[in-house]
Amino acid sequence: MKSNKVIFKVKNLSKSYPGNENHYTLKDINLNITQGSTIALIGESGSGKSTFLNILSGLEPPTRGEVKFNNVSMWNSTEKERALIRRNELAIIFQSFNLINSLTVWQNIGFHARLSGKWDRYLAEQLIETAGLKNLLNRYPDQISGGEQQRVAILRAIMAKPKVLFADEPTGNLDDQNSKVVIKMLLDMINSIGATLLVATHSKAFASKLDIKLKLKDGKLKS
Amino acid sequence: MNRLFFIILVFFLGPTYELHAKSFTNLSEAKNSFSSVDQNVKLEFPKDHGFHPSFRTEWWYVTANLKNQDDEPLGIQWTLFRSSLENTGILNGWKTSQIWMGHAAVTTKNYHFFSEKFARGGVGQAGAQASPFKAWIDDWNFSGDWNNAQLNAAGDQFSYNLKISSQKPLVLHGPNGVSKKSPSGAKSFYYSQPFFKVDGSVEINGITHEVEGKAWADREWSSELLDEDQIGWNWLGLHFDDGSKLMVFEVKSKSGRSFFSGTRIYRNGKYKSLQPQKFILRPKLSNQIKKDKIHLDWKIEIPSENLNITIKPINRNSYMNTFIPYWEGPVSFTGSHSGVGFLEVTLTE
Amino acid sequence: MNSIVLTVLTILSHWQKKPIQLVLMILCLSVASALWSGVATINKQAKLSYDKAASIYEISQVPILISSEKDFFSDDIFSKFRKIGILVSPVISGTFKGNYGEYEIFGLDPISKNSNYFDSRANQSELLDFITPPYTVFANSFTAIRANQEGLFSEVEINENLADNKIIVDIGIAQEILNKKGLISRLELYSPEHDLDYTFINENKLTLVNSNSSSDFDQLTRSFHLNLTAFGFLAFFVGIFIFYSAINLGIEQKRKLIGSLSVIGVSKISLNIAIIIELLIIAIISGLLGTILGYYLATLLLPDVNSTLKGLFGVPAIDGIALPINLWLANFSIVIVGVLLASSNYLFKINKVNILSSAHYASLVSQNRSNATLLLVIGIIFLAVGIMLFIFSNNLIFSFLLMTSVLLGFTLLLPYMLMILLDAFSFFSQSIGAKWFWSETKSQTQLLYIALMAIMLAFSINIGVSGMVNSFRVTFTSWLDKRLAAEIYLKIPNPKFGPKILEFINLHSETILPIYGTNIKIKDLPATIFAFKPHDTYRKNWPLLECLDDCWADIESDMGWLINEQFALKLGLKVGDNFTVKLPTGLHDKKISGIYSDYGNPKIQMMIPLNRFISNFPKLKPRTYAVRIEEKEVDKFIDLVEKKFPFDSAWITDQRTVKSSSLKIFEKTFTITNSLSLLTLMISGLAIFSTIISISEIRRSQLAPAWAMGFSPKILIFQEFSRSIMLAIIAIIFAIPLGVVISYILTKYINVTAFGWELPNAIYPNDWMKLTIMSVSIITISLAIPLIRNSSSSAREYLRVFNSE
Repeated sequence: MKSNKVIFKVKNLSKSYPGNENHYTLKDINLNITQGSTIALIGESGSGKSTFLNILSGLEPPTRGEVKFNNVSMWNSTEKERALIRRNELAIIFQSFNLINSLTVWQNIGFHARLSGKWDRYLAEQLIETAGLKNLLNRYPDQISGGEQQRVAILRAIMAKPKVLFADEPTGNLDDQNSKVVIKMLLDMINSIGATLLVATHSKAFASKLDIKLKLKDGKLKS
Repeated sequence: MNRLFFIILVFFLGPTYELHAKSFTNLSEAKNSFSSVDQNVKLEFPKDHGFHPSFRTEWWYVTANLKNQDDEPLGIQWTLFRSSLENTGILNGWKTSQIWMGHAAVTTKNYHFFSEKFARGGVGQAGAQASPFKAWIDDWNFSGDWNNAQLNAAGDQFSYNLKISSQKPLVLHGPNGVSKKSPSGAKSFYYSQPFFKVDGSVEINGITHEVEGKAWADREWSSELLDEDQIGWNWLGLHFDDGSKLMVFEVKSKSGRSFFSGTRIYRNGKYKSLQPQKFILRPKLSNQIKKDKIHLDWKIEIPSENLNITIKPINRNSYMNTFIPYWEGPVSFTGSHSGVGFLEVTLTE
Repeated sequence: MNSIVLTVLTILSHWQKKPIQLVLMILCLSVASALWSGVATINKQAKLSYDKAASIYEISQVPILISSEKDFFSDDIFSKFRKIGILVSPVISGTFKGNYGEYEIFGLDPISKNSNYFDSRANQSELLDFITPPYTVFANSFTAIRANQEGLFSEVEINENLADNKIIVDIGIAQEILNKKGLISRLELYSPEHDLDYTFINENKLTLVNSNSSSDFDQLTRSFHLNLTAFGFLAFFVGIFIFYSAINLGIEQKRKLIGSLSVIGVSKISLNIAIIIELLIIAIISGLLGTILGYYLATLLLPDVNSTLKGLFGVPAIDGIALPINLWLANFSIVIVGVLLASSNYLFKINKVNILSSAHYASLVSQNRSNATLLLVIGIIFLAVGIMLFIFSNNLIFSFLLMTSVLLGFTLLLPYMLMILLDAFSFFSQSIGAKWFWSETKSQTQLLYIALMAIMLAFSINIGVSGMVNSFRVTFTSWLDKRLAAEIYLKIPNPKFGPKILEFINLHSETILPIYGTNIKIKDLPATIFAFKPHDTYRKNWPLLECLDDCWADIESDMGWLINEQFALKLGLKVGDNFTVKLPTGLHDKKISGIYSDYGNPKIQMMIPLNRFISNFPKLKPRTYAVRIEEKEVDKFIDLVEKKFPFDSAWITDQRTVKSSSLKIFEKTFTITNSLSLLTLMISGLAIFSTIISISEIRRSQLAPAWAMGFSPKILIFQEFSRSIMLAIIAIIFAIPLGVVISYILTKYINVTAFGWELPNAIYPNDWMKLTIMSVSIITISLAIPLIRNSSSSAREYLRVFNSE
């Protein structure tokens, strides 16, 4: 549900890569993300969208600046603490699905949720029905299509009931038809669990469906 | 006495001799590259039991008259002969130019077996040394010292292993051991030990005979052995029943003249040279000569000793069919004295 | 053409980013091919040695004695033999490089060579010219012209029967020309072979070669060389296995690269050619390294191999390791063929790569099962073949094939069995974390299975071999107690003192038993015959396996034969069977009365009572004796004897010392086997190490989602490590029963057909513990290294998985 509570506080965030210290992918970014908002992060390839998402979700460290999640500094914590935050509070969807190849569709769907102790079988069955994955539950990721895989990834993320869901170009590898399905499913389900959504995308169509649109250009964030 | 050597000489002086041909005698080599027999040199023992490389030729010669457990007579021969092809002065290795030859034989009334061996000097296969005394070729040995020695040899059908011992002193033939072979200067160093007592065993065709008896050892070395016209010899070494010994030899020459020499040795070890005119050595003439073709029956007379004996071989077939053949075998004699001994006769062809 | 060069360079550039993987792959392949080529080199050299020895016979046409260690030996030995009455003649031969050519110089001693030479008087002058100045030599006219130019010889006599460049000279001259003073190449034997004292030949480090030697040496050493070959082949096989695994894992890594190349227009043909060139480069480098390493391995193993060849088999030793061109080429081709075969799958898959597909390394879970099943089926086929071969296990080669099929068959079952085991674990786990752990283990198995099979193979071989070695050691020790029943053993140092020594010892001991024998042929097989003086010592102690009725009475009274186990097995005899032996005194037909165990002896052997032996070999004299006295008197006695007869060398020893040196010789035989075994184990360690490194990127991409979902990298790494260790341990546990089976096959079949004696089989759990600890340590270290390396950079690596999209 939407509220005014700031869930992510980003201050003076900068990122440059070793070897290229003078070039900043992200320059002095400041942002407050409130609970329940849906944000589109638009930018061309290489503009740093993924980097920004990675830093916020605790996957990649910033060069300078601060990221606070629920007033807890992401990057002054240990790796273990960040992992715990990801496990219990966050969920990430990637462009190339990144399912666990050794588990079945059913097991994938429940993986994150069971890890964080939030498994809800009833909800799962519902969502599976909605996503049209009922007949694929015993298959393995390499046995289903790209579109189906992304749907599984979304379900997995949703089932974890995260506070924030990051999606990095979720439709990047999908065709139009599948993209539409995926976008619809994502937005519907986000609503039902009231999570904050931060999507990096270069699709204007997708961005238009979200509350806030931010543009990342030359390392700076603009509205 | 130069026995074999004479035979070799004969054959090279004879029809097969070519001026350029090399032979064991190396006659074409100037004599003065080898050492000469010098009457002024005093023989020393045991040093002179060993070999003298600067002399052209040399041997160690043992003959034995034995009886087995059944009182049957047996003759044993053990000879080691050395010939220097060149006086290289090299004593070790393959280039010493020394050839060694061994003859061994066993003769009984019915059997005569012999064996021959050759070896090069300087490589350990054959040799002789003074101290400790050892003369050997392959596995034939004459070793120990001249008071107590061991003598062994073997051939295809025989082998013997004997202990010979003597307490008597050595006999030097001629003044200082220089034994003349001709009036014109052929001579050698020659000494003997005729007083050996023997015991041991002899095996013939697998049967072992325990034997005992007497043995006679001759040592001789020289570089100027025969004169050009000398062609052969006869030699006798006799053990008298009364314990005394006698050595006589006759060197024959082309011209028909013979050179005689001998030594009479008494029981107490004292001995004296026999001047040629003081004794007679002649073959006993009989029809045997047609069969034998050589003289195997002999008569010896030494008037001053009242000695008149007739010698006959124990086995007339005692031919040594070796590379250079000759006749050598045990004999027995009767007459004014009796006893046993050995006879050697060169073969004239 | 340019495009191919560019393509090749591009493909090779892939390795720039992963140098360690390339190095490991080449290292693995090199070490494996080193083992193979090292063994092949040793075997080849040995064969050359035997052939060379045997060929000398062809030249001489009489039996000859050569050194078992080197080409030339001291000419002192010539007179040594002569002095004991053996008629020999020395020959020295060698090559002389002159200014105008190369000559084969043959130096002889005509005096000892043929005593019949002297029959012809005309020859005498020729002979004397040969052995004294001018030292005439013989050669054919062609050679004479050149020889005269060399100015070495003053007179060359023409003999057109001689081959070109062959010169016959006097031995003394030959020694000088060849710069080998005091040395000879061989002794020609003119006495009958059975006049030779067996121990005398060995003492002088000689080997007798006659017309049968070529086949004798081959026969005696066949099993030994087969043993080496088997190891070499196995190691190479494992190496290629690993290469196969590594190269296939490379597909995924190269996928993008190849995709890009196709996109820019490189044709499929160019691509294939470029890849083949890549493979060839790897193969050639590995082949080169492997051959060089193999050479060093061969030189390292050489002393032990030679001790075994000389000491155990009495065949000529190997002079040195040479690497002729054809050996290099042979080794190369094998590596290249192996590599290409192993890569055929790779090539096939590369051609199927869908350039636009961004599927992950997807061969996995679904294919997992089908791969494992395929291997299971192949494994069962191997086992079936093995069972069939079991029926023919009398033959040495078949026994080896039996062992190979059992080894491979069981090993191929491993992936399937792992699958089942992991499914079971997964089934019984409750939490998703646990279930995920097991499913990831299955994934890892799919990538590791070849390395795991290599571990299983190597481990089971080690268990098998150590089982056999232990059986042997245990059996041998107790057998040795019986064979060496006497308290003291001595060897007369100088025959002259023989009678004196024996007389003295007789006074101070209970009994003296002579020990001597000689070589004979029994049904054309190399055999030895020994004498024994009938005595209680034998009746009480001799290790008889079978005894017919009152066997000792029959044997001692010459009514029955006493033969060794090898004799019985090789000729298919049992006690009671009649057998005819040809001895110098004639043909003798008797029944087999007793069979005794004779471990470690490759030859067949029989023993006859002393008086019989003497009547057959009258010229032989014993020089070795066993002496019986009371145990507590031993040291005092030895002191006493040594004081009375102070010879230089230790010629009298006690039972304990003899036993331990006997044991040492046998240990040497197994040293080689043990070393090769261990090397194979290390290769498997290397295998798992390199495989883990190769698959690390793929595994990261599998585990990255879990990281994203909230597993800390340290935990992920630790889990991955435990998976690998656990899989390795399971492979090792499966290997143990396989090893027991291998041990059984080795002792009951291979040993028997190879050597002719049978060892009782037993299991040695202590060994398993030791080997397990060692293997697990090797593997843990192999796995820990990449782990430690990765732990610091893991987060970044996981990130890369996502960023590469």
